[in-house]
Amino acid sequence: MPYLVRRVLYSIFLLLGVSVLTFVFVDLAPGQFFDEMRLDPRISEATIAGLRSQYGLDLPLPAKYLQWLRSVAKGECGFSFAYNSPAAPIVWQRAQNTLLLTGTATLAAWLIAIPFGIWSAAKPRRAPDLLAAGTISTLLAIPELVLGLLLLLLAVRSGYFPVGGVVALDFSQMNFWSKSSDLARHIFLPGLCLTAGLLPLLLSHVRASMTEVLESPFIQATRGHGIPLRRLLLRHALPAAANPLISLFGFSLGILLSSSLVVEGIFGWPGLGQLLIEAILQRDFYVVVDAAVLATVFLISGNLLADTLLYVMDPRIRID
Amino acid sequence: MLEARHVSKCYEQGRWYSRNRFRVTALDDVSLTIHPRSTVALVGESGAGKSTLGRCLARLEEPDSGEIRFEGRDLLTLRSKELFAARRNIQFIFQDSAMAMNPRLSASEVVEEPLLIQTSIASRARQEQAHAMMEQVGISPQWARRSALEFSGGQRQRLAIARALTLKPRLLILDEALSSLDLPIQAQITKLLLDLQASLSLAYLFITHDLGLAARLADRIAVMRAGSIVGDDHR
Repeated sequence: MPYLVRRVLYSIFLLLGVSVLTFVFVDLAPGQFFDEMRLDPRISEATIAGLRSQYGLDLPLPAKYLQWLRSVAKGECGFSFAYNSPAAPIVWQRAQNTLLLTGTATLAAWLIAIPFGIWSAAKPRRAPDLLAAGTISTLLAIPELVLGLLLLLLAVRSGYFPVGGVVALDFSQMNFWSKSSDLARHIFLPGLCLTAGLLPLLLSHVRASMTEVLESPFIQATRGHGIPLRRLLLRHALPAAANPLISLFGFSLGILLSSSLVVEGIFGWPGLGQLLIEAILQRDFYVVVDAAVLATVFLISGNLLADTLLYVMDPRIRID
Repeated sequence: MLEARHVSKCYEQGRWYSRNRFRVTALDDVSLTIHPRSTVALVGESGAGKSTLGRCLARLEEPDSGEIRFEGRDLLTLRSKELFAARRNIQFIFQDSAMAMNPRLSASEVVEEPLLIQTSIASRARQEQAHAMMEQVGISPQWARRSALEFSGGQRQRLAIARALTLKPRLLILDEALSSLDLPIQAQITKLLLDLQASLSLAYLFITHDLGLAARLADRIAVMRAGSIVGDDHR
């Protein structure tokens, strides 16, 4: 069976397995959405039982799972009891906000990590290398929470950066440039916080991969032919160092939906993380399941994309 | 042709802030001369500094001090353009041919690579030159599209020789290039190298710890110990 077909089939089985396990674990958690109604003496047990039956919460777990699968096929992905509407649009809208934030931060982190990592690996034990080592150590030593709070302080003191939300209330009345500026000011601080969290991981991997490749005999051989440094780094060393970086790229795409939980909380960013926490506290069953499964879809897709890129870029994998 | 004078090289071990930081002297005031069309064997135990000297002569490493003169010009003071041109004349062959070839390239691309870097000849002509060179070292051009990783150790070392010779160098530095091959293949490659030396007027610097091989191949044997040349036998 061709390599990529096999990988796609594995991914589908994995996703089904994760969705079953998510269902089981969320179902095992104590309490249900309608339990709080029991505290209200005006609502009878019969009414609560009727609501549970209406929303399918009294069904056994396998039946509930099949019902959810049918609902996924219809594009609804279950029902949100808290929002009283199909879960998919609610989860997807919040996921888009999260993707905007994490996508921007991940792109920024890669755009810094690749040139900086290559530069530091090309100048071992000299200023760029020491600067990269210092950056990695410093950023690793600062917890995301502390950095977030410091940035929040900066936002409050400067008054330039808005705190909370994705856009201003009058966003729809703005022209294109004002909209872009407003979005950029909203995204800057949480994005910076996320970038600072991801950068040491990416930078240390780019630096380590490039350092290893630059010491390898085939690079020495190419140097012996007189190749200019820039061409050596970009055409020969970077493609050879790319395999672990491609895997890391897939992983960084995979965690797009799950990496910003803390930052969303600090900066009041209305993303999937906040929705998930609310849904867990309210026992909004299908929203919790959908958010977890969607994060898994991203993780599996990121890995699948990385495998595909590796397959395309590395002849050794094709030979195997 | 090539004359190294008072070449020294040290390596720093440990981080700049480490208490255990120390210097290792890899080359200590080494001088060596290689004449045109001659074969010099550089022998010595592991860690004696043979490979470091070879790499310094090919300018794959920078010595800390000394002179390396090739046809009268000091390689260490050349500007980048002059060094680029000078590199054609000195080529290096590594012990592990699998590690010394870009795993993403086909056999033909491996052999073409020096031409691609050093010349501006058209792709077709480059390919023809590479195939001719492959034939000269005994590899059929019909295997040109195969990955270098698909060849046996002996064939890969032939490819490495073909790659080094495409630029028509004057001096070939072979760093333990035959030591990982079994004896019949070693004998074939040795014969190939001697034939090529006769037809292309090459000089060889053989870096090896195999005294038997050195005695068979070399006009001169230089012995290294602890970063210095302790014996230079003009045979």
